[in-house]
Amino acid sequence: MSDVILKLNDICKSFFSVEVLHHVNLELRQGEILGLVGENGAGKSTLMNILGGIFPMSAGSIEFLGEPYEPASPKYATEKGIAFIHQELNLFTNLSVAENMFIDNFPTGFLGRIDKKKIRAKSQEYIDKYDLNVRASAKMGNLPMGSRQMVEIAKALMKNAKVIIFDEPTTSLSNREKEKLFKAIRELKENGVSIIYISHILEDVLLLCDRISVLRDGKVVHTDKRERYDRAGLIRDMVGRELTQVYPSVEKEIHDKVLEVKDLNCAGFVKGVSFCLREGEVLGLFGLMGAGRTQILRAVFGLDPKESGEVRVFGEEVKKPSPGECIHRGMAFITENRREEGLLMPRPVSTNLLMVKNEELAGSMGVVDTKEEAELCRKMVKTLDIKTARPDQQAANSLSGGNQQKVVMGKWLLKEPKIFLVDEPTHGVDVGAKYEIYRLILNMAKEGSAILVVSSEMQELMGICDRILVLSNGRLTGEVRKEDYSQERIMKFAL
Amino acid sequence: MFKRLFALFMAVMLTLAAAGCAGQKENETAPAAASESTETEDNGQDQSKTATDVEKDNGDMTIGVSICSLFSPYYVGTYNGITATAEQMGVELVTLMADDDINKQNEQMRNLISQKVDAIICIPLDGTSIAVTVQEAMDAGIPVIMCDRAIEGAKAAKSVVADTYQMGKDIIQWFVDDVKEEDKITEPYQALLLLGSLGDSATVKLSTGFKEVIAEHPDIIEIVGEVPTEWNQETALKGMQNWLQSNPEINMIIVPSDLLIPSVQSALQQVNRWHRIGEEGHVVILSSDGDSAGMQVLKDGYSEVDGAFDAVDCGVQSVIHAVKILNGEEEADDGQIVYGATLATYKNVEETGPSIWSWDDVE
Amino acid sequence: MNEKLRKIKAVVMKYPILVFLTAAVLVALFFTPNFFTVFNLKNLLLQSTDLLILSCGLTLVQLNAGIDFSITSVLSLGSVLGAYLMARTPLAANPLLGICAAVLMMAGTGVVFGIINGAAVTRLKMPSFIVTLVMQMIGSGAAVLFVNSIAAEATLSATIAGLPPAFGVLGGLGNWFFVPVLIAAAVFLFSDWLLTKTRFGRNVYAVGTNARTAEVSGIPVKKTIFLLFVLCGLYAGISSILATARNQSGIPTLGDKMFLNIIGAVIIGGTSVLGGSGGVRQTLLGVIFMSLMTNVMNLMNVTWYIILLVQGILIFVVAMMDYVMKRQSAYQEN
Repeated sequence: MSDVILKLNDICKSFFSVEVLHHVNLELRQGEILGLVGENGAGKSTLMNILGGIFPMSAGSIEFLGEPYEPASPKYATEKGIAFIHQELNLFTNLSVAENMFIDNFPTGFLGRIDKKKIRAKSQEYIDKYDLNVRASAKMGNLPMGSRQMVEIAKALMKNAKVIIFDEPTTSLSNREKEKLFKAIRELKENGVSIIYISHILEDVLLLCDRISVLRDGKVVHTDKRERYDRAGLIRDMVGRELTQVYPSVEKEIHDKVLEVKDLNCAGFVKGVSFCLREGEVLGLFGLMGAGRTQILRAVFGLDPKESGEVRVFGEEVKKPSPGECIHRGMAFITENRREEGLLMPRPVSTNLLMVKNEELAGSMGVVDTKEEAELCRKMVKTLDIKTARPDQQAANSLSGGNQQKVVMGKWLLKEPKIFLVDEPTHGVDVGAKYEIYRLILNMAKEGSAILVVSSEMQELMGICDRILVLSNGRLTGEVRKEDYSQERIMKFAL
Repeated sequence: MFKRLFALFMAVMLTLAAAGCAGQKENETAPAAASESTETEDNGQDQSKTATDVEKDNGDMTIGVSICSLFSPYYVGTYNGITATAEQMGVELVTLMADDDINKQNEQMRNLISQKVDAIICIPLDGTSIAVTVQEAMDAGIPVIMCDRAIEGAKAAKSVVADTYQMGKDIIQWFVDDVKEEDKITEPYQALLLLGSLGDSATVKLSTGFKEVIAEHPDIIEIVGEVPTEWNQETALKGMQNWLQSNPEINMIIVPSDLLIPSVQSALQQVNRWHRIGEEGHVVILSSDGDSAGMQVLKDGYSEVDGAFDAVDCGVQSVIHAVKILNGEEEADDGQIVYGATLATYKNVEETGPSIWSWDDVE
Repeated sequence: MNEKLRKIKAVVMKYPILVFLTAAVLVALFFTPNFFTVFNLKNLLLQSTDLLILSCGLTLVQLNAGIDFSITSVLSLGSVLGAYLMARTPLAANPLLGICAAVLMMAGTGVVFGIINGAAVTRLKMPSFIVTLVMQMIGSGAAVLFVNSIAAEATLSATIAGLPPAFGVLGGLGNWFFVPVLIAAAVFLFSDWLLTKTRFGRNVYAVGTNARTAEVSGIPVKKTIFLLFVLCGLYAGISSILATARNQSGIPTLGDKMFLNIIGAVIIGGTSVLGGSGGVRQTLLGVIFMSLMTNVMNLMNVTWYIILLVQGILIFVVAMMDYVMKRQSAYQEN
């Protein structure tokens, strides 16, 4: 049994008298990869932020390498040897790789002038050392996500990190990049670096980690060796109940075509895509990053311009698509970025729910009927089981990810559209809420809507869709029917 | 959160209170007069409780003074004349300054009317837009004495004015005569004309006077360009710099007020043309107002003429006539009273100097 | 008792300006008992009408995190154009017709400015800061040039006088004191109704909070923003009418120094500079506060520059508070 290098004792944290972490005890051993899993809101990020010096703990103590560790700032953490690779990388997209690597540590020359040559030379050293496959002078913004992450890792290693914490590192990576990342992590382990790996992709955690800790509602529920765990077991610990059926099954029928797309072209992203969507159907759209999935949705809905191509809704062509026009024809678009495009974060739940229905509600002079509004809100909150005590006062940004997503869906549902374009419906949503959302989608299809789902989780699509279209580099490379579902077949089309 | 708001509350209270104490003017009679005269509607004429009981017959008069602003040292002189005379005569003053804003000055006039002052002395920014409130005051039985600028479109009780139009003509005429006398001209002077504010009727009249006489003598003076300064020193400086750069043949600058003399000096010094009369490269400077800056450069020999109106006298006359009207000694007949003016020139500066209002500040 | 306290707390949270207002009134009580006289309050009321109308207009634009510097030049340009129509054209012979024409012209000037501003911001995607600043320069320059060019022929003066006396009614002269007050009240009530009770109002707040989300949700973002600028310009035109009437002359420098007061009233009132929150009710309180403060300090005989200083500090403090609170709530999303 190797030594414990990092020990968290009885960590408690409260935000405005709401206790978020309750007596958390955690140990990290030398040279191990510790996985940390938990639902959204379980406290993983909070715990890591405390470790990283972003905010203080309310009670408890930490020991690192046998000495007390009292992080007062991120700089302290870095100096002690604990590095973070955050979900949103801390990189400057307009600076070069070399500049990013030395951003807080510029070697200076005469009178504090930055020694550019030295930076470039030194960074090239590290690039070679870690086999990064980038040019030192390349602008960060031009690199793919995987490479950016590698640079971030190199940055951490440059500072002699003894512990590296990865927070949801693979959400923006392609499969190939993910493989590279895992390889790098294993190498780090061999070189004596200890790693905490936080992710909600359970398969990856089971693959990579030596031990796994499960966090639930701010407490560590269980910590054990990887071998003792399986996926169902992890889910059970995370959620607290047996989830035998992750995907609901619903009986439904598929009817006529409601949406037809012919030869859609969008500058550089989408090339000659054609497909159709039927009433009652849940159609999946799968592809790797950059394949063009989101662009297709945005072009069809009129948010981004299209170069050429025809879009027909209920048989009629939509000449100049715009969000207003599409909504009028019965379409809805649930974006992947609910914070920036789906919700008005500081505003109450009710305001958000009514945003689309608003156009229809107002009377002759454009006057709104507050009673009618309140009633509609109440009903929708109940139907979707959105956990909010006062929908007219609670702001959207104080809800959990799952509830937020429900609000976005509720907003569109109030308008009763027939065609739904959904982009990453369960992004940042915990397991329990995911199930509810799948059930919602399937029920909507049962009621006669047509749904187009874009997702990067193949399993999810296989679980709820009737067909899956696969996109690669802007072109439709294949279609797989439900009977023929298999991960290999789908992935083959995507690569 | 609540605590924070409360702290803010206290901070605001303290700020306003401090501002109140700190900002109160030195003039002790002014606040006393303000609070007295605004107490109730019918208290206007009665008991004056101030310390300056020294005076004689006029102990219970309150005169409202509405000044466009004190940016110009000229009006500082006028205001000094008003306050000194008022003190001598035992009259109380309520003064409001309008920061050179026409709208604001009208508001303040109405303020004074509401305070039911006995008379109003008004130095307007613009003689036409002040008409409406002057009329209101006159209709309310409050005689209005226009000080330094005449009213247009309404009848005031009296107007103590300077004829800027005439002054403009006189300045140019004097220069023309002087040139002919000295006979030192071969070709017309290339002049840069600085303008005051296009919203200020007095200075507009001054410029009109300039231009008229200049037009009569095209062989003596030619206007090369104009710089609208809006009485802003920066604007004046920049404008002059540009013109001196692009037209180096300029050898004369006509200045509408001594307020701008420092800028003229700066501009000329920068192109190395700040020279006395008789020296090589001298630039002729014609100015008016007679403040200390203008008189200084005149005395030191850098400028030719400074047309000085007697700023102090303007103020003095205003108060005197106001009191006379209130005492019944004079009629409120919209008459004009011209106050004194002198053309101080480089030739007679020693004699005329001492009678100019700013002479004490000149070295 | 607790219920009452909580209710009061809620109101104060929604309108933090009330804190300032109470403070100012208390100061007034202590230092200037003459404040609470009929004529002073009447004066205060009349002087606030302009400020209220202009501030309502600016509030609309600011709800979208925009700004409109050109309102002061609408005041001046409208003033001289309207005065010209009433006094120097053949319309001078028929006062009623002249007044109608002038009213249309002045309101129209505001609308034109609003259209230009709105179009530049929505179509050309220029920042409102630049567009309106440029329009302000053009407008005030035009006003002065216009007066200068026509002044040469008539009198030597730099303003346009000779307006029909009947026009003064709109300015509240004589016994018509209530006219501008009614007009200002009408503008305020209309704006409030627009923002709180109509679909358009909902759209305004949505766009101001997050334009992208609003667009995806089908709200006509461009049209909404465009209308805000047009309304703001129109309000400035209306103010021009009232102010010109009050001064009974066309003044090319009208409104030059007013901008600080206007934006001060809007910010102190509580409408966020970042957009998405606030409204004309808050602005009304802000207007009352600004007028009150100036009035009180005038009565206390405070020098002009101290007044400016105090106003500047207060505006800064309020803006900072708003910004900090917004950042805090964003942080709490973690």
